[in-house]
Amino acid sequence: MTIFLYKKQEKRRKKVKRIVSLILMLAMLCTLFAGCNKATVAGEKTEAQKTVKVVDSRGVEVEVNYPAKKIVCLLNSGLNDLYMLGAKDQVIAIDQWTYTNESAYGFASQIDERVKNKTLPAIDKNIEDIVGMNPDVVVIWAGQEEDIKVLEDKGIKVVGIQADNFEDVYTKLDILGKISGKEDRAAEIAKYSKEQLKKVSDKVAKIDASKKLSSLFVWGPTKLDLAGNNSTGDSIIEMAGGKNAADAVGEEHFVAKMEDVVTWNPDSLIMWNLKDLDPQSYYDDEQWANIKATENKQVFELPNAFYCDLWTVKYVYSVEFLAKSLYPETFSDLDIEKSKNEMLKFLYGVDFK
Amino acid sequence: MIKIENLSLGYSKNTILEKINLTIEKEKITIFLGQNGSGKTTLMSAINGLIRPREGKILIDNQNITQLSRKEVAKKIATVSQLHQFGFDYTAFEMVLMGRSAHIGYMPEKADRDKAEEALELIGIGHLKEKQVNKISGGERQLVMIARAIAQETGIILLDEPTSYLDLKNQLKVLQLIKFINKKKKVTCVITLHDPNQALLCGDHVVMFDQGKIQTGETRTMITDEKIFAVYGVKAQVIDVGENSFVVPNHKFEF
Amino acid sequence: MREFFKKLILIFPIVIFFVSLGVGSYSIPFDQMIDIILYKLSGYTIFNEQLSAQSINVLLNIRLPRVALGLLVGGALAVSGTAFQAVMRNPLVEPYTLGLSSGAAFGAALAMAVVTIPVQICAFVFAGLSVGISYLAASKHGETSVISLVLSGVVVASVFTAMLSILQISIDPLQLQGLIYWLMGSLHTASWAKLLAVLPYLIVGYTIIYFFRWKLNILSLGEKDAGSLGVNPQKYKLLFIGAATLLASAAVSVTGIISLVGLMIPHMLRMLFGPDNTKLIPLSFCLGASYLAIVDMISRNLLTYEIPIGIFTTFLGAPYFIFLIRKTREGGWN
Repeated sequence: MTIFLYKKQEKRRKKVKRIVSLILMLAMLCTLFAGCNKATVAGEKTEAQKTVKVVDSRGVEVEVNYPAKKIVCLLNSGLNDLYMLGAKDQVIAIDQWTYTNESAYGFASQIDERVKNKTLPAIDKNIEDIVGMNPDVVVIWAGQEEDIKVLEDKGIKVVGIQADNFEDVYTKLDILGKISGKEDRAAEIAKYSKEQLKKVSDKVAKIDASKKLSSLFVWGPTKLDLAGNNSTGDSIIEMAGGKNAADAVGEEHFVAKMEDVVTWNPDSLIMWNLKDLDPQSYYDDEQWANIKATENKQVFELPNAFYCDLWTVKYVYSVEFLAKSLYPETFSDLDIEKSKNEMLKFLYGVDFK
Repeated sequence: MIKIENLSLGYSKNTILEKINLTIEKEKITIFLGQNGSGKTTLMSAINGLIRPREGKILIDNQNITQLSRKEVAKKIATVSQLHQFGFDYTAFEMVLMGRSAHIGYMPEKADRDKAEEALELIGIGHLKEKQVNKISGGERQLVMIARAIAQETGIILLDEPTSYLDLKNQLKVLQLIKFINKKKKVTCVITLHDPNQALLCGDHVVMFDQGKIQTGETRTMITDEKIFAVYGVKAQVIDVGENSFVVPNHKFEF
Repeated sequence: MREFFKKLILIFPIVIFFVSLGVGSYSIPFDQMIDIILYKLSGYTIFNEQLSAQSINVLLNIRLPRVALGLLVGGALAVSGTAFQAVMRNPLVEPYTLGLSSGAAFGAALAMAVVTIPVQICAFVFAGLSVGISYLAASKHGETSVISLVLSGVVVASVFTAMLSILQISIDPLQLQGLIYWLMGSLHTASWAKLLAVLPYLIVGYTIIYFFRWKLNILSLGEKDAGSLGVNPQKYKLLFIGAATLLASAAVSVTGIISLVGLMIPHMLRMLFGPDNTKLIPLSFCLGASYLAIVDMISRNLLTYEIPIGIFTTFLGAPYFIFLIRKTREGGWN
């Protein structure tokens, strides 16, 4: 969802950016007329800079100064990865969303003093601001092709990130570990997450196939915006031992037909953390009245997006949450609250309020 | 009876008619003659209550026209406007039925349909009933519009240039029809015309429009060599042949 | 023959109603459908002794409000189009081309996002505003030319669409997707609650137009003729434009923008039955209702997910609109 939104906001910014770039060009022309001075470069390279090569989600091989000391990270989930990796101080600029989204800001400011004091600059409308920062690397969504082009034309190293499934989550962590010089920590986090996940899958494996519960993953904003096959929502359900009732639909995000929902008759619903909907909205809707999920009050809403972030390893918590919700007896020994706090402590080293 | 007292008419800054007095007699045919733009049609619209007078008043059966609602006016006065096409393809019958509008609340009833049919029959165009008004000839269309005015069942019918755009045969047909309904239905007719010959053919009275003023009198006394010259600036002779009179322009083309 | 067609069209919505009720991705056999309806009405059944609660739910809570809303909205758009065309004496106007739909959509979105007044009323106010602007912008000396009215409608529509975009940007982006989907025109959110919310407005609009429909004929002759025939043109124009706006804006407020229904249906009927509005109004309702219900039936069953119905009506209506423009042009640009 966040990716999706981010991309949308990004498109809107582009127009503004064009105007700004025009103004910049004019400004540059002005300096030409103002007269040229012979430039002297201070701190010319004295020793060979170490570099590292990574292949980003676009399949492009990027050579980056190693370890990157000045990282501009334009995706919140990438920023979280860098926080987890302990590369906080290598980040010199972040995305605007982290500041404007109340919840994201709340957590980030507990991790990073500079976010709290708003001293860490955010790149919003003008992507060219980055040029002046002279960063070692810019981490950006691979979909923002125009922005990437602008930056690369200016000779700035860009790592494009795509995260469509949980494989990509680890790849992203791996890439960020490599460029920030925290490969060991990256491996440690991956190992930890996979262990946690294995604890769930071991128990899930013991559940009889015939007793597996069907579920639907709700993206929102409406009750019928669901996750089809090949989506992260679908994966979470599978990993938690459920079965996506809508796996016949090949769309990542689609608007379902109410009649189909009745036909699927899912045992449960799992909702992304939504502003306008909660489980009660389903219980109150007469059209949903005869569906097992509402009859048995099996509609669950994922808690705060920060804990369940599907674009970082924190997705493991979403899986735990759903598994516990679906099979409370099987997972009776799993203390979801404790597990969450341990996870956050391990990942960030912070006790969140 | 239409009584016009001290009436002034005009659009924005232009005064078209100034302080005119006129009585249009009941059950007679009164013809408005004058140059283009002399105010014939404007006066007609004012009589119909579509233009508000600047000063003075127009009394229809002793009631001030400006104090009547559209519906009340339409029960007293019917209008046949200049020949034109309609946006929608109504049939002759539908068109004539609309003449009943002032008598109809929500929907036309059987009595209204019968009256519309009678009107069509009266002027002998019953066969056009289901024909589309836009697709019949101009002459036929004018007859339909007259039928609509008859269906309106008013004491007064205003006809604005009813013979324009028609060929000679149809011009005479329309004039004869007006004369016929005037006699048969005892309807007061007010007609604007361009051709004084047509006025001589069917008019009882003539109103001459000339530079914001009017003169009125019996047809033959109003249409004379001098008055034609005064109003139209055309030298002409009015010749009497038996019962009929004719205006023959004595105009030489100069190059 | 004509009479036969007329009767056919008048009973069409009833047939479509039952067919639509019977078709859907959740299968309900015909005998069950009859039984469910009978059971609800009388408590007895004919074919089945047992009925599943699910089929009852699908039929009565999901399908029935959707089919009913489809019929009512389709009828509303067609009737509103017929009335606008007669009053403005222009075969090319309808809620969409007048800019009304965009105005209503903006009003509805505004009510949903910001203001706390009923959606339908806010939609009506802005719909009225857009029609007013379109009409006044195109009028000159009391006359309105066919093409300039359509052009001013286009401009008004784009202004309101732009304002809607501003609204979209400034409200919570999470609502954005839902709004976009709704704007394209869809019936998938139909429910009894929505139906009941919009019904009073539709009834008022329908009643006014139905009772005064004969006066539409008089108005369609033009202001001067109407005046001479005893109908106050200003008064009745306002009445009809108000009622037609109410119908269309109420429709938009629940289903978003469904374009060109009000253009196609009245024109087809006028070709078949002539311009008499006493016949056209009920026929427009029936054919418009049937048309939208059929289109929705197709859109419900074509794919595994919902497709906005407005997409279909636009695809079907656009060629028709072009055909009409060409036809109007032959008669001069007046």
